[in-house]
Amino acid sequence: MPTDRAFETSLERAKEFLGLRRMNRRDLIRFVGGTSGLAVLNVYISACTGQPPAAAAPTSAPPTSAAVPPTPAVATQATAGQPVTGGVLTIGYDAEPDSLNAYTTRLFASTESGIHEGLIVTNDKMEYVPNHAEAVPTLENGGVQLNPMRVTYELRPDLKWSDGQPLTSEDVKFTWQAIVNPNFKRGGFNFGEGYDLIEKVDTPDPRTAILTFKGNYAAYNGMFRALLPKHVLDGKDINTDPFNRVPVSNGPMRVKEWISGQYSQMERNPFYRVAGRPYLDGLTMKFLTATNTRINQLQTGEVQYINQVPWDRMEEIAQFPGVAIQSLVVNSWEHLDFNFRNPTLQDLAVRQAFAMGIDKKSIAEKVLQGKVPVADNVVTPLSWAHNPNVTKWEYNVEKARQTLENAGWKAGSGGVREKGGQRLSFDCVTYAGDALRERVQQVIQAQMREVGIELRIQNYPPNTFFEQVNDGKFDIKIHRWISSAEPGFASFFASDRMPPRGLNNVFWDNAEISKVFDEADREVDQNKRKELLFRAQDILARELPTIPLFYRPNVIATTAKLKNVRMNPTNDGDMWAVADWYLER
Amino acid sequence: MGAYLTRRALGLIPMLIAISAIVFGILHMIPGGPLAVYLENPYITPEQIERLRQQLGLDQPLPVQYGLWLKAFVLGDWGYSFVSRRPAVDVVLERVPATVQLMGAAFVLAGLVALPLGILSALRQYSKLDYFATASAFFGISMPVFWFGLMLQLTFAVWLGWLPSAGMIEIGDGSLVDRLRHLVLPATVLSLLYAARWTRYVRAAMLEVINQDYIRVARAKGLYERSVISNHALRNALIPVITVVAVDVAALFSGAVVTEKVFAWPGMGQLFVDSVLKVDYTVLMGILMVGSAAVLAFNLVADVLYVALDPRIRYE
Amino acid sequence: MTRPASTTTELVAGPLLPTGAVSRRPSSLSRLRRHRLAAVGGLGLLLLALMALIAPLLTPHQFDQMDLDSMRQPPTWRHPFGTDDLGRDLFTRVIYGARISLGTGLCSAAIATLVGTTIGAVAGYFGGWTDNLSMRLVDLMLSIPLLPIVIVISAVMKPTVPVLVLVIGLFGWMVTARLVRSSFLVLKAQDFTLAAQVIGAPPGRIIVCHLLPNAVAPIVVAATLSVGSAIILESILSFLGMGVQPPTPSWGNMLQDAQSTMATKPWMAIFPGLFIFISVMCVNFLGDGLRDALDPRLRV
Repeated sequence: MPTDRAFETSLERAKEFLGLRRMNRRDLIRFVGGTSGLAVLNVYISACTGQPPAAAAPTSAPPTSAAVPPTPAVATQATAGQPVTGGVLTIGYDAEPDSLNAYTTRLFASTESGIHEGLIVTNDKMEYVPNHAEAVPTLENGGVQLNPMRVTYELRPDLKWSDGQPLTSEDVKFTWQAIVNPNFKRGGFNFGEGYDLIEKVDTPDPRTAILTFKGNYAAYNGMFRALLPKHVLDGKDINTDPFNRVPVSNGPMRVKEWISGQYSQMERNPFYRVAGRPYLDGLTMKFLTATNTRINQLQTGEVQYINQVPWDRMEEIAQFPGVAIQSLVVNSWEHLDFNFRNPTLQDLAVRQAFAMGIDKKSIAEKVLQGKVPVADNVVTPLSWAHNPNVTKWEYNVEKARQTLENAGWKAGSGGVREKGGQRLSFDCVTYAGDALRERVQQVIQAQMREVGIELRIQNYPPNTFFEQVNDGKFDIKIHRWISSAEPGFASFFASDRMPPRGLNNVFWDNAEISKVFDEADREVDQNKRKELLFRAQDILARELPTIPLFYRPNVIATTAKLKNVRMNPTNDGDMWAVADWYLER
Repeated sequence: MGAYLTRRALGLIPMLIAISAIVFGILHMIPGGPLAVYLENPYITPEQIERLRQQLGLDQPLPVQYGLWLKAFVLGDWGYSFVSRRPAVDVVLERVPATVQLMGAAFVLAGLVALPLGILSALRQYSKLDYFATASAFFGISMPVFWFGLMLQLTFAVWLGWLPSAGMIEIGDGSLVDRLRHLVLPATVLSLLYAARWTRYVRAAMLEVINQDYIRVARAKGLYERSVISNHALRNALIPVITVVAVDVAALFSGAVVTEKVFAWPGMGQLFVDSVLKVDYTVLMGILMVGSAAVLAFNLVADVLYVALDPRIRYE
Repeated sequence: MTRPASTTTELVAGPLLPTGAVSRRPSSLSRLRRHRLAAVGGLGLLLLALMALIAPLLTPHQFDQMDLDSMRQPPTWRHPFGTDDLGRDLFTRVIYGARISLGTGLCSAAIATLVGTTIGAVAGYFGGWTDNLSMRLVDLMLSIPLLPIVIVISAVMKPTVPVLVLVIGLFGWMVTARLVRSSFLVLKAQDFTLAAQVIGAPPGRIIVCHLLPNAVAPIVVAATLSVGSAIILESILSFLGMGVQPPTPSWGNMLQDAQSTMATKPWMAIFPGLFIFISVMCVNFLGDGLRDALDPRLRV
């Protein structure tokens, strides 16, 4: 075989170039082997002086506080053992807060719930418990009076801010004034219409605040989830004050520093209202937006707590040594909605076909690995307003087909049913980029095909999604709503709450339910309100403007050494009781 | 050459203004704007959103908004971030050091690999080294960054435990060694992509050059091979390489999004994507202005370098 | 590409960079090698394209046929590449994926290369204001971020695959333009260009017949790289809802879907990645062959 001289000479040239001309092959191998051996040795040495391997603790049964079955991989959290004071917990959080001021943050987040405390908080059983207030004011205990509606909050004695200054009812009044100040650019989730309904706040003594409302407002206990310090913010522009970054707070932790894009550090608030708490010396919160990275950091031990664990990784993470998983169904439900502006969807038979054609159990068990409870109702079972007796639509493909046949929808081309020139073919939208949601959407698409309905998928990034939806540019949408402990689903279904006035972006105009909602919003008596809300849920299950799919659990994974973490199903966040957390030795 | 330079330099400002106007317009076409986040929120009434819109000046006609922005921007006031209410200039500039560290390290690594590998690959075309280099380069561009990143993270941080898995520093540490340890994985992941690209360009350009007469003459003169390559061949092969490197370096400012996400690196790439998704106009304009200034500057530098490398090039 | 009529131009026509006749022609062995590689590349692409076209004949399953009981299975006889998160056959999806990915990759790379070469050639040859304007256009396009454009487009119109191809193509021509322009700046200063001008060849002919063949090398590299990056970019954009919608498979979005299970179930990522790799390789070999075919040195 003719040798190609070009090769030989180019090899020579290459060797020259590297200054290796005099080396023959054997020497070359030794040289390369030697240097790489040294390199490996070097790395190994520095690795040995690096982090010690995570101590292998016995894998405890993963705990949970889910009140709703089924969640097979979880069990009740053990709170046995004596709390130990000390230790800093490192948390891997999925998003960086935009502000640590509860009234300017736009996120549904809970990072600030470990820093700020309000008058009332909702506990893990969705009950109102007093924080800075001494008791929860109700009609029964006289804290609430009607005509006009007045709510009296008594503060606990000797409350202080994290800078040592006393916390008084003046701060409550100041908080209200700051929020309703027309120059204040309101943030987000933590306020409702309630503040605008307050006519005045009286402070007869430093421990008493009396709120007078203009009308009846049922959700008064949902307000004042955080307080703003008058002595710090009076006269300042709250929108841009550094308070939003490093606030003076009144919760168990106070902020030490916040390094943008990386982490924030919190330390024990020495002036916290409960002596001896918090047990933890501090919290370090790392912002790790990539899910895989959060999980990897938990695995290496670089963090000891991660949030937003995807449901399809729960089993895998539960296998990590020394790690415990907690899952809690929150006030959030995933649903499939119809656009009533599309005349085809105004046909009840079509909506019923959807209800019977979607195999929710199969989706929950297989696609979501059994980690989510199926929903038949927009109100979660955790809420006091949950009606357990609504009409349930069982998965039944035959019945779905029958219903359509009877309504005149006959099989047409491509297996898609049609009637009078209209085809059961719809645009189905959801958030792009959400893997689990996209999978659910595709399974539903396949299931509906069995019934004779065609879904064309078109997904959008979150910002665009809501714009499109509120403009009515969809037929079917799949997403979630979150609500607070107050079952306020009127904004989603009342006739007068269509965008831009509200969130009724199914564009459903139902006089019956709108009337019920109207009465319920003004009914302060819990029992009467419950009755009304039950009726509303019955109507929803009958008319099917929406098909609830499943309730969404929040899942966290922590080191098994972290005890006493009680997750919160409402927007009060998982850190509502961070004062009680402790790290075992 | 001097006249050309002056012309280009003078043209930078009008160019930047034109770009800023176009980009401003595009950003404002994104549906929803910074207030879209409230659309999902059951507790904000439309009146409140409207009031917020007025307070933030978002209800004014677009040219007015642009004019106000431009006037402030040239005076150094980039406005306040719609997301965090902090001055946009702080939000953007505080990310620069981290970005420069990461991209700088990645570029250096990539250059150290691409140059010799490309040259050797060309010198020893069709040899095992060439095939290996070629295959590696294609591997580098076929597999997306998140795959590399994840694989390296799993291997070196999780399974072997040699390196930290994410972040810039160990909180409480921050020494040089600590920073370097955190830099290794993300810089490596990023450099693989650039190394893959640049190797291909170096190789292709070198292949064009090494069969030339004048190279043969240089060798015949008895010059050391190394001198032949670096003084004679490389100079001429570098022009296309400089073109590509200039574009890549300018893209530094929105570049390494996926790497930054995977390794939790607080760089401008992540800031850019987050700002786009939340439609934070002020921060976005800040980033994009910095980015286009970089594009203009580096392309100008590349054009100047062409002349330095090949004096026969003339600009009219 | 016709042979230049005059031998003068041929003799003086040099390669990309400084003149000089080739003193050492590549031996016949390496020429054969190049031919073979180009043939392999071309054949490979043809096979992939064929595979994409006759996909329904090749695949036992539907690409959206779900089997929720066998999700994420490793490769078996029934499922040679395994199954994905919803129990769909990966072999089928990879083959159908070729339609989108190969199509998108090749078409957008073609658009980018064509637009870039044209603009770069014109800018490099004519110089002056043409050059200035073209390069400022390049700077402008490099400054405009792709992400907001994509979001705007997907809100304004239905973000289908042709739109996606156009967008990727129109945002990818800039590097090619600058490469071609810089090559032309060098080539313009050569004697052979002057000679062609002197004998009265029109600019178009000079550009296409004389300058372009010498500038092919970096164009080929850029085109190859843009095929690979277009395929990956398509996956990132479909992540944002632009382009391919589920359940339609593309190699890129299959890689995206495999993110969370990469460590435990690597086959979901390996197969689409492998096909991207093969496609890029084929395009490159073909491109090398094209460069050699156009290279004036090798014709004498």
